[in-house]
Amino acid sequence: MIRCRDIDRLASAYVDGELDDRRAEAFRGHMRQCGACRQSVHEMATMLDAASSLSAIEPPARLWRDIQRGLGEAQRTGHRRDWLPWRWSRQHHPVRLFAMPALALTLVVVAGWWSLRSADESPPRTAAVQPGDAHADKAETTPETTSNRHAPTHVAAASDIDMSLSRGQGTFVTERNREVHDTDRLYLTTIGELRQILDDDRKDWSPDLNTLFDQRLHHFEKAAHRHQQLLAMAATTSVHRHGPRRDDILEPSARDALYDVYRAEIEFLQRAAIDGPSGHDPMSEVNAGVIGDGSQAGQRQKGQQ
Amino acid sequence: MPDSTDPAKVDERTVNTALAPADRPEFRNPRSSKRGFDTEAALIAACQQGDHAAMEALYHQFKRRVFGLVTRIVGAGDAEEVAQDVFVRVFRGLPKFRGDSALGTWIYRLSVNAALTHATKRGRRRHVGDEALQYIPAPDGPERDPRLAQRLERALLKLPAGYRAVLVLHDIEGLSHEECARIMGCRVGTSKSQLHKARAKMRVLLGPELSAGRAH
Repeated sequence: MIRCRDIDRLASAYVDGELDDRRAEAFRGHMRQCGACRQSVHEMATMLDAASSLSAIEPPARLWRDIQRGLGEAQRTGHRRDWLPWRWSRQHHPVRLFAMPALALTLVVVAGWWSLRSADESPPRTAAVQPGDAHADKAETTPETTSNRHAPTHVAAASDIDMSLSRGQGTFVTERNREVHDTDRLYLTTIGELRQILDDDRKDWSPDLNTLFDQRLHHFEKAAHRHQQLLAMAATTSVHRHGPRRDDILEPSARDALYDVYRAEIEFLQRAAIDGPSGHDPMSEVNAGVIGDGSQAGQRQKGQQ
Repeated sequence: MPDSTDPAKVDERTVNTALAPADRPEFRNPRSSKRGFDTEAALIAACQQGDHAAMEALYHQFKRRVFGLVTRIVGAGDAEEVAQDVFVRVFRGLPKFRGDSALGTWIYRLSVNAALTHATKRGRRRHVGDEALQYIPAPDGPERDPRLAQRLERALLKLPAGYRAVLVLHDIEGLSHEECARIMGCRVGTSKSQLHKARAKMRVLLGPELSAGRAH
């Protein structure tokens, strides 16, 4: 038997034709007897009728021209005006895109630098006669040839390569660090804006719900802070080992984990903004183990419940 | 309009016999047919190869849907910017489009994501002025109340962005719950629940107009 309190819940399904025959008949039966519910359902049908009748909106003629211009700019500068792909595949994650080629390039550069450094430190070929050297007679040295001012061509060329590699490496590192910093800032800005939007809504929430919500946010903050500490430790260790020129803020796995936390928090805040307080359990993500810092905290929470 | 005296006629949406999205005129684009893009796959392939005519054909095929969707989510003031961004993303993303979903679903998803992100970044619209109706044409059909349609457009912009998106997709664009869920990236049940809440809020916003509309 359908009652007035069921009408609101079932009205959408009814007007969409999704109730089975038995429930639809019961629904109609109630409406025959209840003028208020009949009125309510009629209003919904009127609204949906109006919505479905809304005309298509024609874009201005200049839009195609603007799109073409936008494509041209995007090709020139790279499409960096991207918002975070909150719901998209993580294959567009900027750190993952940079991580493997960055690592490979770094290894090549370091290996090259190391071998060139070794070559640099060893005496020039013209200063020593190598066994089996076909040009040994030409390589006979004089004191002048051992000086740097008169370094053999291949050593000078190696120095030039070393310099250009260093410049390239420095430029690459700078660019990479800038990308990472920009990504960090974008995540944090988005989180800040979402929290601000929710602050207004939360004034109408119950104290219990607000408390649960705050606990959840605190959990995200703790997880993010933990990964930030790991990154800071990695950078410090890197400096100790490799000197101040090595800036290891990339640390792919640690940074991925940090961004996982940011993304989880953004998704959580976005759902709260869309769903509102009714029917939204901020602890559902905890119970489901959907936590940006991995499952450990989620398992702990599950254990506590 | 539904007959208010007979509850049996206040029914499954018999009033909505709108064409399914695939049958709407804008899908049958004469420009795409003329240049040999008879199938969606051919059109995509041509766009992926950088065929400018194909790209323009694709734009014309989807421009109303994209523009209508973003206008109703972000408002008329920002619609052009967001629509431009959507299409740039479409054309830049086409080389990677694998066809896991229909092209229209993919484009809708891009549009919804772009519009929701834009709406979230700009914050909630507290005031909707007349600029919101800049692009919104007068509704079709003399038998329907044009004032209700305009008020509906205004009320739509007062909903939270997520509610707006699902209501536009399902009730205005005519997509199924399954399509809406795919576009919004959620379960079908969640999409239905969102839609129900969106409709409930709209009824609250439009209450007096809906009651008055009964007389028409």
